[in-house]
Amino acid sequence: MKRIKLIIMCFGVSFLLVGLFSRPVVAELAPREVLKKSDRARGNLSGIEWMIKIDAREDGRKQKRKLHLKSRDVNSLAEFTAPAKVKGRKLLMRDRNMWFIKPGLKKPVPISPRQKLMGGASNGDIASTNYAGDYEIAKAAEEEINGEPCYLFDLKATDKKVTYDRIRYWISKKRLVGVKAAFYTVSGKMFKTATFEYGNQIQVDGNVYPFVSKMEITDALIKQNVTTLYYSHVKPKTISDAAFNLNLLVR
Amino acid sequence: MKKHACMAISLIVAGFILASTGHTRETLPKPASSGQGKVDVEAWQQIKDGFDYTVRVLAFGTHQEPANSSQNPENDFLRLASYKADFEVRPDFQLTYDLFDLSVKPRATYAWAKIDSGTHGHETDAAGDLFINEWLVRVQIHERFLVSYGRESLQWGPGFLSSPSNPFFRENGRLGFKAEVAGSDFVRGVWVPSAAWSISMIANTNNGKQEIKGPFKKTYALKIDYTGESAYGSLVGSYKKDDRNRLGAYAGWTASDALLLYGEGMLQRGSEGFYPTPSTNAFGAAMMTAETDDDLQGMMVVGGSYTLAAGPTLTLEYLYHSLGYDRAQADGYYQLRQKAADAYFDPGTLSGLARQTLSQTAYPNLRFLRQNYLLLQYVNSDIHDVLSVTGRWLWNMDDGSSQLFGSIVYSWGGHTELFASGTYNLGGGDTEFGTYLNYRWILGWEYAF
Repeated sequence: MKRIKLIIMCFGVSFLLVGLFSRPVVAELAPREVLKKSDRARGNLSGIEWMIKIDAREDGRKQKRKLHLKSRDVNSLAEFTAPAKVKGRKLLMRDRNMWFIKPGLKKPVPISPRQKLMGGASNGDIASTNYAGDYEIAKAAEEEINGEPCYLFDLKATDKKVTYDRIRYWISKKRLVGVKAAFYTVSGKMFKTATFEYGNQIQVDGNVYPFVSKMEITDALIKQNVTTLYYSHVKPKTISDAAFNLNLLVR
Repeated sequence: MKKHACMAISLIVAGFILASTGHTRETLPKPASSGQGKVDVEAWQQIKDGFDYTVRVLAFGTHQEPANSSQNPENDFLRLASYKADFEVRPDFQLTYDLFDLSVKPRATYAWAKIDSGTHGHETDAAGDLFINEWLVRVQIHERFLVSYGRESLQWGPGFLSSPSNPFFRENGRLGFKAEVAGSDFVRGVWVPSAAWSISMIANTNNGKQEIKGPFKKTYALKIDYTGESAYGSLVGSYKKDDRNRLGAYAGWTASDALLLYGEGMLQRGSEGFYPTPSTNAFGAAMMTAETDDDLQGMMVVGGSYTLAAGPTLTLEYLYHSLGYDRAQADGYYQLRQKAADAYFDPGTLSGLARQTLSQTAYPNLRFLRQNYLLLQYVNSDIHDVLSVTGRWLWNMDDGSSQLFGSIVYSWGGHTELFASGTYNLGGGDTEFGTYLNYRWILGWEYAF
């Protein structure tokens, strides 16, 4: 019995020592590096394409959209593939510049990032995320989300050109991916929240990284208004500059 | 026509040669093939994956009231319909295969019209048409260089009322409701040296489906585009054969998440428009091109749009058009029109001159008749994800006439849209917006699959 107690004590002390002297690798990272890595899991890569299915539930009405998205760094091209009534519509995002192209309406129309895509999703929500470039970390803390230890970054827009003025962003300490976000207006009012899942994987430079598979956006005022974005068919690939050239998009 | 077919075939052959020599659109490695059969299967799969189509079927009815103006006395000259019924099938086919992009947009239309006019009374007319509005063959010669030939509606620029930097099209398709802009024939080469810059060489080789007055003149343009972090700009130099050179430009700035500011313009020497000019004919005036043809003329659009947090976007745009009529020219124009209208039903020889004059006053070869315009627009394209509402006020600041436009589009399920629009023109018969129609209502249905 004494021997068992001794073994348990040894194990306990060992765990205590491991806990005291070993620190997670990610903790070595500077907050901005953590943010950069979380951006990678939401599309900010040198070339990637994926499909998005959007299910919007707003005021009891349900709407669906499917998009094919090509993205490279801060440029994205989204093409609507379903339903039939919106098929062929395109949304080109060249950094902060955006254009909307509708079949029949031949002229590309410049639009603002604030314009709503569908349900609670803005145009900016489907593009790749560049929080590390667009925001500064005003405050950093730690908090658990569903039992998972997370960094909590209070992100403040570096200029007024971005879709959200302030974001509270929870990034998993272990996985280095954003798991939750709260979006605020300029007046400081929270107007929507989002949670993220990472069921997809991508391979970059021989390493495998998680990639976003689901983003669920909930209206802060009317909680029943929920827009869910499902990401699939994620493929890192070389995408040429011509793919994002406005002169070549209308055909 | 043979020359155009040759050009299209040359592009296809060039693409196949490049494809066979290993130049591919994306630089991803292809899986190794074990035999010819596998290659065929892969090629067939690539064609299947690259093929796409959408078919839109539209049926809509129009009721409009022609204005009894000096341009169209008792609706006898222009014979505008009071009631119309249109049925259109608009399929769009696209194929992306290796280095190629192919697209073809055939159209089938059937239109019925009821016309009420002074001397003809009530008449009906019906006609059907089958045509190809647009088609395109594009080949990626190099990762950064693409060439294309085809019939396109080549549009650009942020201007809403007009796109003055575009030397090829007067219509930009943004004022029309459910109407398509007719395509014209172009050869294009686009070089994309970097993500920020591109250079387009464009030749307009034929008017295609575009209706033009007088003989077609080939036009060549060089377009240089820049896109930065939150702004973009373009410079367009063009030359019309046996005609004049133009310099166009446009720029836009995403000033904030919600605010867009933009401008677009063009400069040229002289004007191709027709102006009222003293004459020895019975009306004492005729529509003629300007005598001095080397004055610097231009057109400019400046505007901005703001998206409210609740969703709607408001647009304010001002247009200046130096080629348009000043007050004295406008007075001369309307006086001439009135004289022609007074003589229109004359049983003698004057009616012939009246018809000729009204033909010229109806098409003065100008994008806008006067010089200063203002547009205010409200668009909410996503009300409960099913409703799109547009309201627009267009004001001719020189003659005081204006046009009110409103439209509603209701999405029903994944395939159907119901739409309605109303246009009211305010101003007398001797104003720009009061010249043709008092009002127009359109009610329709669109089904896509």
